[in-house]
Formats: sequence, structure tokens, C-alpha cells
Amino acid sequence: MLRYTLRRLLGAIPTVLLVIVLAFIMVRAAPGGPFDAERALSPDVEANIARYYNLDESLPRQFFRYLGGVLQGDLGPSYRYRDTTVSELIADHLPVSMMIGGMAMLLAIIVGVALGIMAALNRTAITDRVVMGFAMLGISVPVFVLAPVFMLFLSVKLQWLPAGWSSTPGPSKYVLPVISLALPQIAYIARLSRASLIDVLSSDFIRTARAQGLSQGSIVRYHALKPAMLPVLSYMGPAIAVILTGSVVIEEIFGIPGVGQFFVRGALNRDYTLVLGIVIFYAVLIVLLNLIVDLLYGLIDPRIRARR
Amino acid sequence: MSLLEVDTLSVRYPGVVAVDGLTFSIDRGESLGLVGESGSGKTQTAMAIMGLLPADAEVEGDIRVDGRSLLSLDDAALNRVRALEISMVFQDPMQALNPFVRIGDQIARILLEHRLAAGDDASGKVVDMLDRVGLPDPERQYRAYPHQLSGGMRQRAMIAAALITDPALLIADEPTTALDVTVQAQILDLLEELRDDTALLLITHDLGVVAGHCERMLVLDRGRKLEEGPTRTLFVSPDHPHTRTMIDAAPRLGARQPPDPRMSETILIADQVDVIYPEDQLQAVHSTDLILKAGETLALVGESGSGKSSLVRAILGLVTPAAGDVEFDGIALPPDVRRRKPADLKRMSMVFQDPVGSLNPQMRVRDIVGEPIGSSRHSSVSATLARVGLDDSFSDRYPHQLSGGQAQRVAIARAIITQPRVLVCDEAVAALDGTVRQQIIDLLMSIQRETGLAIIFIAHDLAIVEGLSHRVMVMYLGRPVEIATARDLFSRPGHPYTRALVDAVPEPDPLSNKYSFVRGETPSPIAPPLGCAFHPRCEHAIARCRVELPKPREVDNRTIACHRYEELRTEVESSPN
Amino acid sequence: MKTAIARAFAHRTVLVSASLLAIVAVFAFLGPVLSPNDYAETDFDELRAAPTLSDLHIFGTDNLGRDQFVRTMLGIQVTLAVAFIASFVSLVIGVLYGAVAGLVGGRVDAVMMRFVDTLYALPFIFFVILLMVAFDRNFLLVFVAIGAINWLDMARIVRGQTLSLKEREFIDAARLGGVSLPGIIWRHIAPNLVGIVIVYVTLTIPQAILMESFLSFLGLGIQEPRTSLGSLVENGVGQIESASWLLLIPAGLLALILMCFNFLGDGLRDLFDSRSSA
Repeated sequence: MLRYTLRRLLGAIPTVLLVIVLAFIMVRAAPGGPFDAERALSPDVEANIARYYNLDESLPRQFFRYLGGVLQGDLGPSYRYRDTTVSELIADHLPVSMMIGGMAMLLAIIVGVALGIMAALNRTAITDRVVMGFAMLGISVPVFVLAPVFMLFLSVKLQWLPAGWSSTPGPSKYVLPVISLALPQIAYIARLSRASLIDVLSSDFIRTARAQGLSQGSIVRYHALKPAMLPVLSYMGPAIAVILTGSVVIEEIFGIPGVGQFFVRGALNRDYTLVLGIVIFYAVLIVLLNLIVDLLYGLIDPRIRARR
Repeated sequence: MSLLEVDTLSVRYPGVVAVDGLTFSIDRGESLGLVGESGSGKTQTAMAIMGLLPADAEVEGDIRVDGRSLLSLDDAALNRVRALEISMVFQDPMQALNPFVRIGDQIARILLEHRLAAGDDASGKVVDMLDRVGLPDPERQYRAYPHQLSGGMRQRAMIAAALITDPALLIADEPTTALDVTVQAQILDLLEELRDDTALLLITHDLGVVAGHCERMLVLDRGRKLEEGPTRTLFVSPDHPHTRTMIDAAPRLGARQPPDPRMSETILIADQVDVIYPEDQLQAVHSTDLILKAGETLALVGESGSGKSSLVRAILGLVTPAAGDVEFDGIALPPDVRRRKPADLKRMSMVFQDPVGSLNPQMRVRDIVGEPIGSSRHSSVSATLARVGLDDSFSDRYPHQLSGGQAQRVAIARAIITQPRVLVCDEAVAALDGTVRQQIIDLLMSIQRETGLAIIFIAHDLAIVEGLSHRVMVMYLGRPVEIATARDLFSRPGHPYTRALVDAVPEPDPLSNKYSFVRGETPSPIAPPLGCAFHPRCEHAIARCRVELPKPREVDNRTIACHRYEELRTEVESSPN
Repeated sequence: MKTAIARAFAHRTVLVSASLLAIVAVFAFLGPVLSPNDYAETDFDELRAAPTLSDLHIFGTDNLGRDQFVRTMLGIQVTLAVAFIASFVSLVIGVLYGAVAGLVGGRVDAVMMRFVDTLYALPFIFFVILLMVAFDRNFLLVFVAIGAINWLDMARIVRGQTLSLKEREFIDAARLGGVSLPGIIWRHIAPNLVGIVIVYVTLTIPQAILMESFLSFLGLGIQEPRTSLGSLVENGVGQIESASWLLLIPAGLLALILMCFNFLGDGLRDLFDSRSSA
């Protein structure tokens, strides 16, 4: 297990490096500089700006300077928000993003798995059809469609829930963003865990357990649940990425001052350092969370530990 | 009142009748063999008794245990019957055990579920049971996961799980089919030894297994009972001609005389071949020689891990040997099949184990057979199909429209259409039912007689090999241990492993009582034992065997790799038996 | 192949979702031609008009007084075009990459798949956004970027299938029969890949639609005055209190299209699965 952990840890390093290299090259390969679009600057000013952002150095030098900064947690200055660094921006606006993303993730896992199991165990019943119909709807409707439609009906028309973020005190403002973000994932996880549990329940070792006179409840609890949850666990990696992506639009739609909103603003304003910094930050976050998922997987499946 | 009464049981699926009005019973402590070929409904019968049929199965008739009908029981009552009165052992222990749960916990769960024991008491009982079924170091194996056990050990654990509740009836469905022959004998013996007064319903296609282990037998064919009676009576004078055919088709040692050795020129030589699979970190074949003479059949025999398939794949160029040469007619062949000339390729071909898997599902029979000659329209395609006993109506079919035997005929047609001089049959009849198997063997033999084809026949079953091979080469863990003419080898097996294989063949004769069998299982080729690879299982092993690898030597007209051959030869001859 | 198509049409889910998609596509391509209105023409007398038959503004008009029906149909056109082209890009890259890894096998395969695993761990959509920022929202880039992401699944699946096909005995038989490598690929491997590739292409299309509309929603994809369903939804969000149809109609159509493709893919998978297990 220790070797497996070490191996996975070491395996994550090239991924992180690749992320930084790719992101850096993408930005620098772009035609024109960050300040081209605006009014013409005098060559003096341009040179000054270039020096300030180290744009006058050779590309490899710039890269290693940037990499050095990243390794110390310094993502450089923002091009647009002149007085702050990218790291500070992320640190200031991360908590609310994490809060919403984390709650959505938790909700998605709990409700999704519960629905999936329910559907799998009542395959002939109406439960299954209802849950699966809902799930198909859920995976097909994108977050940025779901959220405004919820807002339209629940906030604008029925006025059950607040639409504005900054104007609302209390926790009720979290409800719509979290549910909108979680619903598609609930649907996906429900489908996944249903299919997986059905698959496991048809395997030979479940037949053995039936032949041993174990009740359906015992069979699910002691024999089927663990293997059935493995696909759900390996979906956690992609799910994290999807939730992060979704939080970008959710924050935009509900006006939540999270990292995602700054990301979109940065993208629209061509704030290269900000966008680059957030991409790298998110990428590293996802790689790390994936690593945790991998380790959990190894903990659950004895065959993985044995291999390699 | 009998323990189990099956009363005009029928199992139907949409469009198929799997079991058709079957009636039989089993008394306490009795052993009944349920025999039939694939599709005869024997497993369906067992599943019906256990209440494990799929939802779309329609069941009629009655199944009673101690006079109580099982079909009308509710789930809770049925679960108690399943655990406490009837247990079951399944065919493939790798699939039948939960890979995510420790062996001991899986077994203990049964005790906990039915409140037969709790806590430490339960685990103590499980450890005892694991010990009884012969798992070494049972406390450690309690904590092992199924993948950490060998096939035989897994099946022992399966038996432990079945017997832990001391049931009145044990159903064993092909319990040894997935295992090596030498292990099969151990498992059958274990079942016999442990079951005491537990009745046994043994389901098998193998008449040898029934003959040795069941008092009564029942022959099933296409869902119906052909006949039923004491095993001894049925073997001697079966009422039904189909039973007769099955008994005759059952492989048995000594039934057919091996053909006379061929005195022809050598056509194929493999010299000091090594096969290594770097990804699996194992060496499958160690400096092995093979010689094949024109028109002869050479049987290549061994259990899983013996390297027999790897050796022929290296000869054919399907894997590139790490070392060694292959010569055909005295000329070295390139090691990789892609570098061999078309003329070379035409001289050797192969028939595989899985009849359906060896045919491309997207191609018609005509295209499959015509592929090696580059044309599906050529007259030789239908001529070759006719030669293997398939008429023209087959040429437009797809593989899934063929039975196992027909598919294997197509594979043979594809192999012989180039008029090869060497045909490799890799377990080519292992997947076929007894009667079909004999037809395919007869077909191969008649092609050999007509064309003078030399055949390398890979098999794990010595009884099949005996009647058709001129010479036999026995392999163990990647090395040949004995090479001799079939006559010499079967009349006097020289190597202890050869003897073990001969002893392990179940005899389809209720009167025979073979009792000696070899212990243990083939170790993993990843870490073969030092010295003679067979020494951990050999009752004759001495200190030298543990350290020094025996070189193949020519003695008494045979090639043998055993330090003690000469001593053991005299020992065997002087023994009164 | 004929029987495969016949069976596909006998499958109810497949039939219904394919027909719905066909209807939507016909409307999307014929509607703008038949309508008297233009997608860019503004009418300041009719801002945010509710759906009406007068002037044939059957979906109403938007906040600039443009005909919402024509704009929606054009949006569907763009959405479908991006989805198909992007899926084609991912099909080509994925099949080639996966087939090479599977066919060559060994160390090459290990390295190639390690690369795919690494890419899998990346938050791609963020890279696409980065790319869109760097290259100033180049329209063509949307296609390439989306296609370049979606090939990963395809590559994995094709590679897995190729590897397991390679182990099959009929490939050995073909090699012994002197069939050349191109012959083996063409006659033995490719035909056995077709089914699974079709299924996964069908499932890639909604992915591509989702990504394109996501980018357009954020204003990083298709630019005005051209439009896509994503931009229309975004515009609708802005008018949510005064003209809810501007949100609901494009949102509903986007959901419908996505759902049809998902059902189609699921249905096809059913079909091919039951055939491979038969």
C-alpha cells in the first residue's frame, strides 16, 4: 500500500508540470500582447510595462521565473486588478466557491447513490422508471439552463427563494446555486450507481451468496455495495472537474463573487496572468483530488494493491 | 420419504424448454450423479432446486425437501433451507467467490446471517473448517482475498463455505471442470471425505467423475431423463443407446491402443527454445527441444503453466522466442511470423481451442475458409468444406449460426486448405462435448491418413491423447519432463509427474479404485522452484532434486528429466503391484 | 449492415429520438429560409414581443427587436454544426490514436495511454477558455478545441477494444494464414470496431454540444451577431424578468436536443451490447 501511494504521488508530479507548461505556452503562443487591444501606447510606456511584467526576457527565462513563483505559491500580478496578485485574488474568493462546490458534491454523492441503489433494487417497479427518467433529464440539461430556469420559477415567479446574492443575508441564498450545480451530478451518479449495482448483482459471487441463504439486504450490504461503488468512486475525479466548471457559470448567473466569476471576467478582459493562474490552480487542485480518489480506490479494491 | 424429491419439474424460457418433466429423488447420505452434455438441463435443474433461476424462467412441477415444497416458500424460509439444508459448490471458484471480501469473512457471514454462531466463535469455526478442507495455515488464509489463492485452494474454500452449516444435501455443479487434472482428483477426494452423511448431487459432463464418486446416476438429454439407476449397472448395461454412446465416447486410459511409432524423416525441429513474457515477468518455456516427424502425431501434454501453448506459438512465430531456432526441412525459419514467406506459412497451420472465438464474427464461412488462399470463390473452398463434412449451404453462414462442432470443422477447413504438412491443434477438442469431440478427432485422424499430415496435439487430458498419438511429450513449468512413444509412455510412465497425470485421469469405470494422487498444485511460473520444478510435489524427491536441475537424458528409448529415473524404475518393477 | 439498421429502427428509443432530431434539424435548416424575417434585422418598435403570429414572430422578438424564431433556428444550426464537426475531429483523432496504441501494444501503448491518463486529469474546459482568451475567441478554434478534448474517451475505448480483439484467436489464425497487417486491420479489426465507435460518437455529440453552448453562454464561443443556443440562453437570462420566453424556448430546445442524443446513444449501446453478447 505504501509503495502504491508513493507511486501515485510521484505520478502526479509530471501531470502538474505538464499543466503549467501547457498553460504557459498557450498564453504565450497567442498573437499579440495583453495590452494590444487598447489605445496605442508610446514605446516608452510599452517597454516599461513589459519590464514590469518581465515580458522583455526570453521565453524560457520567463517560464522558469514563473515556474519558480508557482512553486512558492506566487502566481504573479494580475494585469487588470493592478494592486493585487493572482494568489491573493484566489485566496480571497476561494472560500465561497469551495463552500458551494463542496456542498454540491456532497449532495450529489449522497442523493445520487441513494437514488441509484433504490432504482437498482426495484428494477421492475415504478421507482426505477421514475428515477431513470429523471436521471436522463438531469444529465441532458446543462447547469446554465437549469440554474436560470430555477431562478425564473422559484425566485422571479414564485418568490420562494432569493435571486440576488449580495442582497441576501442568511443561508437561503445557497439553496439554488447548490441545487443547480448538484442536480446534473445527482443524475449522473444515480445512473452510474444503478448500472453498477445491477451489474454486480448479476455476478457469480452474488449467486453464491444467494445460494448461502443470505437475505437481499445482507447481500447488498456485505457483498454488493463495495464493488458497486467503485465506478462511482472513479467518477469522483471527473465529477470534481465538472463541478468546478459548473461553478464558473453558477457564480456568473447568481452573481456570486467566487473564483469562477473572476475567471470569466479575466477571460473576457484578457487578463492573461489571472486566467493562467486560475487554470493552474484548478488543475493542481483537480490532480490532487484525483490522487486522493486513486488512493481510496486502492484502499477498497484488494486486487489493485496487489498489482504493480 | 426421501430427502430431496424433484417431481415432474419443467423449466421453460421464452421459446426454449430447458428441463422437461424431470422426476428423481435423493435419500439421506446418498450420492447421485446428474450427467449430460452441454444444454442437457443439468445446471438448470440445480438452479431450480436452489431457487436461483432468472426471472424469466417459468417453473412447473414440485421440488420437496423433507416433504416440504420449496416452490411455495417465502424468501425468509427459502433462505433458511438454502443455508441449513442444501448448499452448493459452483464451477469456477474465481468467479464464485467475492473478490472484495476476505475468504474467512465470506464464510463467517453465513454463520452470522443464520445466527449459528457469533463473533470469535464464528471465526473460530471458520478457521476449523478451512483447516478441514486442507488450507495450509488456515488462520492466515482466513484473512486472504480470493485472488491470493490458487485455483485449487479457492475451490477448497468454496467447499468450506458449503459445508460450514452441515447441510443435508450438497449440490456440486461441475466442481472440478475449471481445475487442473491433478487438482481435480484432490478436490473430488476431499468432497468424498468430508461429506459424511451429507447427500451429494454431483453435476458433471464427465462420466469418469461420476463413475468414481456416485452411487447412482441419472442421464439427462435435452432436458429429459434418459435413464436412472445404480452407477455400476448403468455403466455395464445402459438401457438407452445414447447413454451407451456417451459411455463409449468418455475418454479412458487403455481403451485405444496407441498407433505404431512412425519411422519417417524429421520435418520440424525446435532447438533450445526460450519464451519470455517480459510484461508478466515470467519465462514460460525454458530451453526446450521439439522434434516432429512427417506424418506423425505428437501429443504435447501438461497442466496450466506448463508452457505447451507458448512452445507451439513460438514454433509458429506467433510469439518471438527469446532464444532458440526453428527449422523446417532443415532450413531455419524467421522467428516472427510476419517475416516468414508465404510458402513457409502454407506448410504449417493451427486449430484453436475456442471454436467460435477463433472465427471472425463478421465474416462468412466462405470468406473465413478462403482467406489463407486469398480467395473465397475458389473451388477448393467448397471442396475443403466438403472434406470436413460441411455442405455448401454452410458457406454463407456467419459463425454465430454454427454449433461448436460445426465451428471447429470450419476452423479445420481453414487450417487444411493450404495443404499444410504440419497442423497444430491447441486443445482443439477441449471445449466440445464427448460425442462431438470423438467426431472431430476422427476427422483429424482421417485427414492425417489421407494427406500424411503431421499433427502436434496439445491436450491436458491424457486419456484423449492415448489413442491418437505416436509420441507424447509431457511438460511441467516450461520444461519437458518426459518424451517417449505413446506405447512406452502409457505402458510405463517414467517421470513421477507423468505418473501423477496418468493417476489423475478419472476412470469411467465404477469398479476401478484408483487412490494415489499427487499433492499440491503447479506453482506460479513467476517463481518456479529451484532444482527440479516438480520436487515440492514429488513423493520421491531427495536432496539432490531440490538443488540440481535434472537435464533431459536418453534412457530406455525415452527422453527423461529425472535424477531418480533408474532407481524408481526398478522400484516400480519389483513392487508386487 | 442492413439488418443492423432495421434493428435500430425496431428499437423504440432509437426510433423516437432519431425522428425528433430529424424534425428539429429540418426546422432549423428550412425555418430561416421560409420565414420572412432576418436574423440580424432589428425592429425597435417590437422589443421583447411575446410569441405572436403577427409578422410571424412565432417565438417573439428579443431585446433588440430581432426575430427570435430565426435566431433560434440559426442557433440550432450552429450548435449542430459545431457538434458534428467537433465529434468528427474527436472521432478521427481518437480512433487513430487508440488503434495505434492497441495495435502496437507493449511499451508504446503504455506510454501513449499514460499520456491520455495525464490529459484526463486536466480540467480541459479551462484550457479551452485559456485558448479562447489567447486567440481572441476565434470561431474555428471552438471546433478544434472541443474535438481535441473529446477524443480521449474514444481513444481509450478503441484501444481497449483493439487490444482485446488482438488477443482473439481469429487474429492468430489470420496471421498464420499469411494475411498482411493492413489486411488484418481492414478485415478483422476494423469491422469489429464499427459498432462501438458508432455508439461512442453518438455519445460524444452531446458532449460537444454541451461544451460549445457552455463557451457561448460565457460569451467565449460564437460571437454576435451570429448566435448559438448557448448565446441565446445567456441572452435570455438577461431578460428573465421581462421576457421569459427568450430563456425558456432556447433552453428547452437545447435540453431536447441533448436528451435525444443521449437516448439515441443509450439505445444504440443496448443494441450493440445485446448483439455482442448473443
